[in-house]
Amino acid sequence: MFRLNAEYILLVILTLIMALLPVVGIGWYTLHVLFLFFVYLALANMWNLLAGYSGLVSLGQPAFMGIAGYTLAMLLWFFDTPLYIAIPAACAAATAFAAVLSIPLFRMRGFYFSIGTLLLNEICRVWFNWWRPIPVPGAPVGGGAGFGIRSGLSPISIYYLALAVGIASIILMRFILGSKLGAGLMAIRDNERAAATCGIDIFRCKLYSFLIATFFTGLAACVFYLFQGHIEPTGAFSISWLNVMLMAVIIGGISTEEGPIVGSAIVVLLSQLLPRYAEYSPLILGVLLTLIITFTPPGIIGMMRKTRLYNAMLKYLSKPIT
Amino acid sequence: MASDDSILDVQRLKKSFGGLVAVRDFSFHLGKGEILGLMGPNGAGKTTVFNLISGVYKPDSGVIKYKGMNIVGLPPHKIRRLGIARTYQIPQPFPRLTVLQNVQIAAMYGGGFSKAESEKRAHEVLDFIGLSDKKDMPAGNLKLLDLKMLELARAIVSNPSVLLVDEVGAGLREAEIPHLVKILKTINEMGVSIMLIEHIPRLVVETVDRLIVMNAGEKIADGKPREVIRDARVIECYLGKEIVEE
Ligand SMILES: Nc1ncnc2c1ncn2[C@@H]1O[C@H](COP(=O)(O)OP(=O)(O)OP(=O)(O)O)[C@@H](O)[C@H]1O
Ligand SMILES: [Mg+2]
Repeated sequence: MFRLNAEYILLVILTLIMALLPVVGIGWYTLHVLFLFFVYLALANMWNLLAGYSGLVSLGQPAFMGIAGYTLAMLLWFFDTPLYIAIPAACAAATAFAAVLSIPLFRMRGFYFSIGTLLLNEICRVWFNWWRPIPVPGAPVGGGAGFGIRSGLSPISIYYLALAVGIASIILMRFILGSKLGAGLMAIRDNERAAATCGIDIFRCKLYSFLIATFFTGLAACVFYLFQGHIEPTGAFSISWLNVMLMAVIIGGISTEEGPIVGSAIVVLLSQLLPRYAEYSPLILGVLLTLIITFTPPGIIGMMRKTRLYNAMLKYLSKPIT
Repeated sequence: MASDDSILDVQRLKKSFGGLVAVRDFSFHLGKGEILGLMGPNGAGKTTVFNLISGVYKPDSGVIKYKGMNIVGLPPHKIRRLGIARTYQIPQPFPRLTVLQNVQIAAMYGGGFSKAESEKRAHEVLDFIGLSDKKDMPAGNLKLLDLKMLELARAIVSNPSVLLVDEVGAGLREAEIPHLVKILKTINEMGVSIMLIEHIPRLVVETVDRLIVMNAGEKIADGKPREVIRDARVIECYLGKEIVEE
């Protein structure tokens, strides 16, 4: 399945460098930025799978992240569940939630699907604000159902987790796009009617894609909350997570494999630079997005793919999956 | 008249759009191994018949029996997997995917072949259809005539039992018609029953075993192609149209 080509060698080398950074004593600040990059990368890749390859412009990913985060928090808090069970269970909970919701959501098409999923965030936020789990002595139940998340992991271990999840998301995308499912999704994206006529079960393909993306989005959320150490409804279900996914995918290049990688890097850098100009940051982001959408709809990668140098490089590395 | 050796048996099919009845009380059968022509003036309801058989639309009433089983109400992908493939009059490619990928996907999903086997079959079919020199082009860059051949390639790659071909010859130059006739005959010789919507009389007469003519949603003639074309009612509904001129 995996041919050892220049592309994988490059990925392995970069991964090794990233893995060695904590060992050679790189600063905490840099590690923190890289940590965010890997979390954003996984989120962006999964959003690209949905919006870029499956025609599912889901705006409800923060809800699934929050569900995963809360499940993780509760399993650790109430049951002292070991992490290797708690994390998959949290992702599974988010996926099960998505599976149940897909029944009504998949009846809505296009724009309505987006609005329907967007509402999930607000519904979850309100519900988790109102909800009070069984009071446990010492539980920090204050203004909402806030929870501490104590994993006992060192920050460096959490950095490694993020690195693994980020890199895994790249490999997962390559695997899905090269699979039968990926071919089906791209066909559906290009022409739904023809896809059905070619024997593709549109509902099933989209459902698989939705569930896979939700599971992995939940995984990225778990890593983030392990790092953050606590979860509360306003932050967990905040649409600022949507900003991260949309910006990374749209700036980098939607429906391209490389787009989210470049886009996540830019979004992380912006998130570090912009707070210094806090009052202007919405303006700067707005202008940037408008420029990208107006002038290069397929994002930075779309623009680069038009240049000969970049294509030569791609050809050397390996062929991209369209 | 349906017989035991018919692969497709359609009874009293009806479909209306709003007030317009596009197909009315339409019954016919397609014999095993037969090439059946379907003619009729613009708007007669020919494409609608294909849309009903392939599950794109659900009929208001009527029965469509395929190999003895009523397939009315099945979704398009299931009907395709059962072995009924079609082409679209207005080509429906996957524009961002390559020609090869277009065909390979139909083999994988429509024919249930493995990825590798599908790629092999896609190459063979593109060779056969005459599109292999363009196999790595995005399908969106093809010209209309190539797109029509791509429709055909995508349809036959899954080894269907029934092939519904909607005006694949429209726009062909006179000299290109024999090539198409040969392709259709070869497909038929491999055991595929074919239903062919076509306006070009020469192509129809040379290809089909039997010809049905419909007008305003109804069947007005059914029989040997040369006889049907001479039928007074057929001439009447085509009067002043291309069949007389060409
Ligand atoms: N989806 C639809 N909605 C509304 N009306 C439709 C639809 N599809 C077909 N019709 C109408 O049904 C009638 C039959 O159309 P159909 O496409 O089946 O004709 P046709 O015989 O294939 O004609 P042509 O030779 O032009 O392809 C036409 O009047 C057409 O306008
Ligand atoms: Mg038509």
